[in-house]
Amino acid sequence: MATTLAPAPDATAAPAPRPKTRDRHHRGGSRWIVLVLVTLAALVMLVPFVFMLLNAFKSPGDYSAGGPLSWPTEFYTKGLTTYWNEVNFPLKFWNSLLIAGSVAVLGVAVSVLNAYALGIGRVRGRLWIVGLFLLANMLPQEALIYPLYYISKQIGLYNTQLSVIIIFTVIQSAFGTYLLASVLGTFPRSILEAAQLDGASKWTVLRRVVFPNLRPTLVVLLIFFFIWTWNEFLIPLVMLIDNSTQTIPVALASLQGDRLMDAPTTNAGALISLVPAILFFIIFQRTFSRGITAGAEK
Amino acid sequence: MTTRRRGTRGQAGVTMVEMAVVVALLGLVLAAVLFDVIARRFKPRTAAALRAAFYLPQVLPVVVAGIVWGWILRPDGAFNSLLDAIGLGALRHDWLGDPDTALPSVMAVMIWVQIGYPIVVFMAALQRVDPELYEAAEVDGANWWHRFRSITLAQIRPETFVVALTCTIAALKVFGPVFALTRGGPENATNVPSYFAYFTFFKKLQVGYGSAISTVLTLIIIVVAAVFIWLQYRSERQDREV
Repeated sequence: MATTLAPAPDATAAPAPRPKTRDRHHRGGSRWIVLVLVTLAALVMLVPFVFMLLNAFKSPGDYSAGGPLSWPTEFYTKGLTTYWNEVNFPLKFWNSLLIAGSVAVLGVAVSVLNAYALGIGRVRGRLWIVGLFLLANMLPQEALIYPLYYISKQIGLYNTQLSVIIIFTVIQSAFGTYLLASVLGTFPRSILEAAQLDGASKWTVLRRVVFPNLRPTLVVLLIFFFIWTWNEFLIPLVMLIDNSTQTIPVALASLQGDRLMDAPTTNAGALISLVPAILFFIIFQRTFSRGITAGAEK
Repeated sequence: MTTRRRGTRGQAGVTMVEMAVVVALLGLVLAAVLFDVIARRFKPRTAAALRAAFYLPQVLPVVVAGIVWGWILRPDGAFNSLLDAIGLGALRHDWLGDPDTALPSVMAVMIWVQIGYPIVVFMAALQRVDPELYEAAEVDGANWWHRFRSITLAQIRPETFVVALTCTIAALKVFGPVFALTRGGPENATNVPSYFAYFTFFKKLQVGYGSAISTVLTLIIIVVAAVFIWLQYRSERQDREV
């Protein structure tokens, strides 16, 4: 790679051409306008979360006196503890984690294997197979719910986390198969042929050639599957009727139905339901950035 | 929304699909701006932080988003208080209770919920693109729009198909936000197909009619998906022939 064309930002780059490229990269006032506009848009996205945070620690009296925008006069945590105890949060958290975590890992594994056969292997009738997979992902869940309920009752999986794990592994990996098969469909054939000429088996090609290339996309898929499953509502609502098997969104919604929650408890509940998924996202955010730097230094 | 649209059940569904197009396009442009302008002319860190802000609503369970937004948009809710606070008190409104503003309000909430999804997919896709392509184009004097059209769009075409298809389908199926925010009202202004089916199933207990609605919805979704997949297949084949 010619240093003058794309100098790496690390110390190994020759010092002489660096100031020049810095100029080209960092010139112009329009980039600042773009930055301000995008940042403003991002701040608007965050406003509802600020509202949530502002009202989660307010006492009901404080809320009715000062309205939703006032600064809380005291640090009121009873809304939070009420919610925590009312729904037995640690147990609900474990259920959600178990279901979403298993689905994320299993879903990605199934997607990669499917997509390898469809995108690289180009099996006969792959268009129809992808279409069939998509069906599972596309059907409105209201249409799926009764058959699923009936089957799980018949085979004794009703009201178990396993039933929801199986259902969502299939639904999510249907999407994953479609996405990855599309990406692998455009995978450069020359690289695959070169690997085959070197005597690599199908498994080695998957592990050494395809997998490293796909890794950024797979991390994104893993995050999507986790968060989508974490947030699913209708199917867990129907399949998990027991307090001991329910997930966090179902618990929050059923508490909403039980009695009229005041605004601070609602906001505290919403806030606490959000924390685990945000933590998960932040952890993987690091992986994203590392991916970007690795790409830049190549 | 115009008065003509209000009350006819199919129209709310059509409007939701228009919203999906807005989400996909907006997401594409934002992802390209974050990747091409922010990450390369400022720091990758800045782009990552902004992306996280856009993605955050996706992390929120849809039911929770519905509950919180319902509270924000209430006549005595945070949004109207905010309007008061910045001197626009004259614009105070019952956003979800008025048939004319209910559907736009639900659409705004949907855009808020969904925009992070295309941004993250497109930005991951852009990582596959060789940075040298952009550098070379810049040296040749290509402006932002040229680079966007000839490099960005061309290189991430597979993902564009996937995002367009999944956003359209999600819009056709949208249920949670409508259920939490308006329950199809007021005056059917937000009665989307899947809520209509749910209402017929569980409130009116007309199982046959409800099944018919969800079957028609499924058929529409299958046709839309078939068209998308066919287009994608055709463009892939053209690629190989070139």
